[in-house]
Amino acid sequence: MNTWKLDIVTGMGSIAFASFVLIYAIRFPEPRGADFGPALFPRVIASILIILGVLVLIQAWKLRTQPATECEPDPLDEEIVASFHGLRNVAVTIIVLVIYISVVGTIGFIPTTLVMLFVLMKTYGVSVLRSVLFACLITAFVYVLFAVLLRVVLP
Amino acid sequence: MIVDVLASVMRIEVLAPWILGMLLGVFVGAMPGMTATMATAILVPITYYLSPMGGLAMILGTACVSIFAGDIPATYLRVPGTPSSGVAVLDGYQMTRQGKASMALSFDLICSPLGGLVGFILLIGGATALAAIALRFSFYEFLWVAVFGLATCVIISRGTMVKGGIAVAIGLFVSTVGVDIVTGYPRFTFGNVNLLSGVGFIPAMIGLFGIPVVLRTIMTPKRMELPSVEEKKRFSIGDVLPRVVKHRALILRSSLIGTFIGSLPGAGADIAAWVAYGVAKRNSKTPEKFGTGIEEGVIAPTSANNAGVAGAWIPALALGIPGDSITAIILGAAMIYGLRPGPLMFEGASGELVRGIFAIGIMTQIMLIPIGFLAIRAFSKIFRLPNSVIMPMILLFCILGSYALNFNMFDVGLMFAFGLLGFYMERNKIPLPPLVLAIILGPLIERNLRLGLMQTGGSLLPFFTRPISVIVIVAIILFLSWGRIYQLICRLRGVNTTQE
Repeated sequence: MNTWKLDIVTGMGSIAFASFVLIYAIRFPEPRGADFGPALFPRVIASILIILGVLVLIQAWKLRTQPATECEPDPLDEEIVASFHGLRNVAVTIIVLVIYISVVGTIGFIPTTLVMLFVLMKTYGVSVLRSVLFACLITAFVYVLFAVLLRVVLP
Repeated sequence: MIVDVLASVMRIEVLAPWILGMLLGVFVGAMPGMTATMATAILVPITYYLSPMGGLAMILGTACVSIFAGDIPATYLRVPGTPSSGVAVLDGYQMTRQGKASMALSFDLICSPLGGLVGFILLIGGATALAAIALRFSFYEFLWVAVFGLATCVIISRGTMVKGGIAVAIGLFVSTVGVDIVTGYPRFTFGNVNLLSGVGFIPAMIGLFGIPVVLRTIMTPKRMELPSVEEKKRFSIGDVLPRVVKHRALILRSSLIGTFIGSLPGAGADIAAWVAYGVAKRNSKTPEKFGTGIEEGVIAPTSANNAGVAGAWIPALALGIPGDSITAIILGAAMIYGLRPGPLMFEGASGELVRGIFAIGIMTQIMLIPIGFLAIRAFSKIFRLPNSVIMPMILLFCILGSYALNFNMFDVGLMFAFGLLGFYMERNKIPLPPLVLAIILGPLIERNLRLGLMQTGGSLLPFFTRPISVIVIVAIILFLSWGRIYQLICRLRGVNTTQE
């Protein structure tokens, strides 16, 4: 998507979000005799956000008529070359993580983490043997470091 | 005198916990989500079994080393190990992408202890005087210091100022979620108990910086087989030393800024690093190169954040007021040891302990170099594995880092939500650092604004008329308009500034 189109999404999104905050903050109680209760700060921020949203929309409108070369190049720009495999990687990652978060508390940290790391590495193109090896090594390292040495409770 | 201090420190019951603490600091700092504060909280119960000097040495070793070690994953993977390393994701990570990770980390390895040394020397020389200045700050001045931090961050970030402003507004909004600090009213929690204590800063930071890196990499399968960190040339400390000497003024200035910001109660090493970066950019002849992998962009924050750790001890020791969350925990522990931090602490038996802390602080900065060197060597080997192995590992650390703070899976969900927000923001060239800093500074700004208004019955005048407020406001205006002032001075002197 062109930068100016994304800018329009950002500008409209900012205004919509700020309007929601302003409406939602109406229900906050106001302390008697003073005008600086819990709604004050969110209202100030939302008002600023609306102004900024309008400014982004104006900038986007100006950018629309400018050739693309005048936009500032970004160091992160050239990185994404989306492909079928890339989108598959993203889809599998999201599904695996949702499943991981849902079941890790019931099944336990070690088996769930082993399976998660194996599935992700296999999806990203690592061989079965190396996937198993790295999954075991990383899980063992993390378990020893967090649970044994630092005494952090793992999921 | 010095011999007596060294004799009190050079004992096995002090040195053993000190070295253990430093080794622990490497892991705590390098693991995203594990902060120096958290490590201090874990260590306090252990220190009860040690002598007061041994316990404080262990905590001090962990805190200083972890602040440095936080730069390692921030530089290699763009995932800050601790909040103080948030700035290292800018130029440090860009250097890694240019195949110069070892150069960035060598700068960290030398400048971090130098910053710490300056901080501890100032602590020794002027703890009481500096603490007295910091104590004169009230609601009004703290509000301006926080605004100064945000303004700095918007200016130093890439992208337009308007988009930087949007990032700040989102961050400030995020900071309002949870129970209102003044009235106790739950705001924007939508009946969810997990949001009552607010949106966790750590999950937000890990998600914003870590998840976009993973998403960008896995979307481009041809990058999966590449090593996650490629080195064009390995830089040693010897290669970097002459450049460090060249930047000595920058190191000193950043260390002074770090010590002063660290000494302000409530402002820690994280804010110190941002402000030092902003000042370095403002004073640079090539400010446009900041954020693209420039040496100064690595040196300034790394000098300031370790100096900030020392600075936080200034009000803690001199006045009994903690400068940051680490010293807050230490002060609590010190009371249990039977110590009373404050001006009287510098006298009598506790005076020996204070001098011991100074000695250990300086020794830690010296030992940081060999320990940090080994840490960099160890982590660089791990990060040379291909992206297909490293990306699942980053995801696992992002999950554990956001879970470990409250042992709550809700925080993991929040981390992913912020990850997606960060991915969108980067696509739309909205800078991430202002959002992160706004989450940190939001409560400080709101509390001081509202308490200040309450005290004056709603008048905004004292925010602008108190002498220290005026000084801070003038500093902000000077900082924001420094570029134009500098050009004016050069024009008056007849110097050509077109190249600058």
